[in-house]
Amino acid sequence: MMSQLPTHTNTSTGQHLLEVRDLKTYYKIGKNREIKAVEGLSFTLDPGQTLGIVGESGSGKSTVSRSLIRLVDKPGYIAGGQMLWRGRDLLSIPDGEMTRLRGKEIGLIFQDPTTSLNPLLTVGGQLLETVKTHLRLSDHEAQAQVLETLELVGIREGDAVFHKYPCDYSTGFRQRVMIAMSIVCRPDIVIADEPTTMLGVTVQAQILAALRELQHELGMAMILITHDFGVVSEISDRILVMYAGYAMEYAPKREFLLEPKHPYSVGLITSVPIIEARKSRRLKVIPGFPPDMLRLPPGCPFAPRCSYVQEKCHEEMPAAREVAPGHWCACHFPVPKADLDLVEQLSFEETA
Amino acid sequence: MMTNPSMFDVKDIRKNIPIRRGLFSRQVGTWDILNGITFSLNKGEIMGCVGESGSGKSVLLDCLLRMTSLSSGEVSYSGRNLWSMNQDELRGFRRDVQLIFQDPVGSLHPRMTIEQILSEPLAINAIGTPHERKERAAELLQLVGLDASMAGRYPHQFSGGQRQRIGIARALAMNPQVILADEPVSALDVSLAAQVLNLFLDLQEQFDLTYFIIAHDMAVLRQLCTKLAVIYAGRFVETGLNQEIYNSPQHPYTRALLQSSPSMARSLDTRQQFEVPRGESPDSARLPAGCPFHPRCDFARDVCAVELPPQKRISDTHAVLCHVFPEAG
Repeated sequence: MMSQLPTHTNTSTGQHLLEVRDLKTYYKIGKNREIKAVEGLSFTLDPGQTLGIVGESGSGKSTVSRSLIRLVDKPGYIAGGQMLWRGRDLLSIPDGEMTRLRGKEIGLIFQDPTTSLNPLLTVGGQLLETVKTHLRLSDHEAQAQVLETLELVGIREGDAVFHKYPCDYSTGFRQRVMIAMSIVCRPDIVIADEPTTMLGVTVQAQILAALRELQHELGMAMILITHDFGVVSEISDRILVMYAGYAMEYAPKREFLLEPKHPYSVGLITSVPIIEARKSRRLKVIPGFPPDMLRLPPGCPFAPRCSYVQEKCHEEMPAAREVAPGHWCACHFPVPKADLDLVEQLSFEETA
Repeated sequence: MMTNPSMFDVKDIRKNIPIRRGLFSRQVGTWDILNGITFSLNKGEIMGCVGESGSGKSVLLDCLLRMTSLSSGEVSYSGRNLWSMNQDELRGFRRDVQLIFQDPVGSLHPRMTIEQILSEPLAINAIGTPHERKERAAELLQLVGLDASMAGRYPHQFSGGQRQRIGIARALAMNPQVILADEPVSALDVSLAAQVLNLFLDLQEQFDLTYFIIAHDMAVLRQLCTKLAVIYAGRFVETGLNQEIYNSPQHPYTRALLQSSPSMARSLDTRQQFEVPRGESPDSARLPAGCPFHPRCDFARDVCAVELPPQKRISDTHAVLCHVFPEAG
């Protein structure tokens, strides 16, 4: 019944930086009802790689990020699976050690920079606090680390940051501060949950470029969680699509965009307005609405909206299968290539 | 397109708010929010206005609705100045021009049923009997692709996409001529946003509507509009038909917006770089001298820091405010 997305073994050691196996996170509703927000998610991540998790609201993508840092809000709980961090299961690590891990080895970037920063602490002070909590550094070294990190994200103001408060900065700058905060201890992975949703287009471009550069410089892995296909395709190496808690498709970016196999992925890609379009046109849309998570239909949750639906889809949730090397899809009837005019639609080849 | 009657005529509108401080409310500066905007919106057009936060696009919308006063300039609807309309004319204007909000949750009353929400504008204007209004509500729901049997439900029983449809249905209740929309799909998920965009186009065909849509997403406006205005620091820095602006953008800011919009297609094209513009939008209380974009502009010349650029016409429909572009010759 569950969609089990599998793992790719690292050729050298067989151990990944992060390997999530069949993760399940549920929310208890009332006495005996549950929302299965994440139902059997698996993926792997290696240093320097970016995984983009895309999904619509309610698909469970943010629950994934909360699960990875073990901060799922009650009444939610992790119901099963493994999250192997350098081979160690995060679920078996004691709370104290987990707290040390968060912020030090695992950095987090939240959506809203305004409420995620302490308005009563100077910008430099907040970063300093993080550094001193996690790293054994002298005051002088810690300050140097803070300034160096701020420079990495494009804030070059020197000591002034120890006198300025978040309200002295624009939203774009505050988001840079958030990013600086998440990388000030040089984590091995950064989890960014909708990091640019609140920002204007030009500032968004600046932040995405900064993230990409940082990753290049520090060799971090990144999980980017977003609903924006443009953003995810600009910076991900692999893309994972979630729908109603299930991983529907998991593939390298290029294959995903040019040869999506899951009808939901195909529908999403054709639903996105394209800036390069030759003229305005009607979009090919997915009919209907996302399901109520408390009343999921039997079988595949996407079946009621799927244009390729068959009898079997209403009866049984398909297991994920490897349809091409490294390309996994949880569908009984993956979309054949002939059905796609995406290349033409993206007008990518034509610009050549 | 030129033959169609004009719905809105906007002439050189400005909105400057004095900043007052201290004991005697001494004026210490002004927020220059709109700095001379002129355009006309003709029947059947879908006009987009793209800009980032702080560019003045929402204030512009308020001006079109007569929800804020102007410092100078004129807004006319069907040839009548909004500020010299009498009560009857104003009532007609409020019927003809409807607004669709960005936030489908906050803009629907939580304790009214959908039927009440949809029939309220009719009741206020004393149109039809209660029974007729009920029928109209059902009709409106079907028009926006919802089931008429949902009329007795409350807003919280709907998903975001459905609520935005209810907002659209409410705007349609009075058979409007013009619909103004403030970021109508930015709060919606991909699949629902696409449905709503198509619905906009369907309704336009069906009722010969005119739209003015503000958004920050150039891709959404590419899909929807017939003409576009790019707003920066309270001025239209470039206006033109959609194909003019997307196929041959002139203003460096328009180019920056296009190049910095994340795109699936470009991400596959290794030859194209994702370009990153410098800096951020200026504070309306401290606009730089000359062209407000010059501190961020790669093409800026000496004159750009001193003099406001003149408007240059490229075609009947395409105009740009820039010293440098279009390049001569």
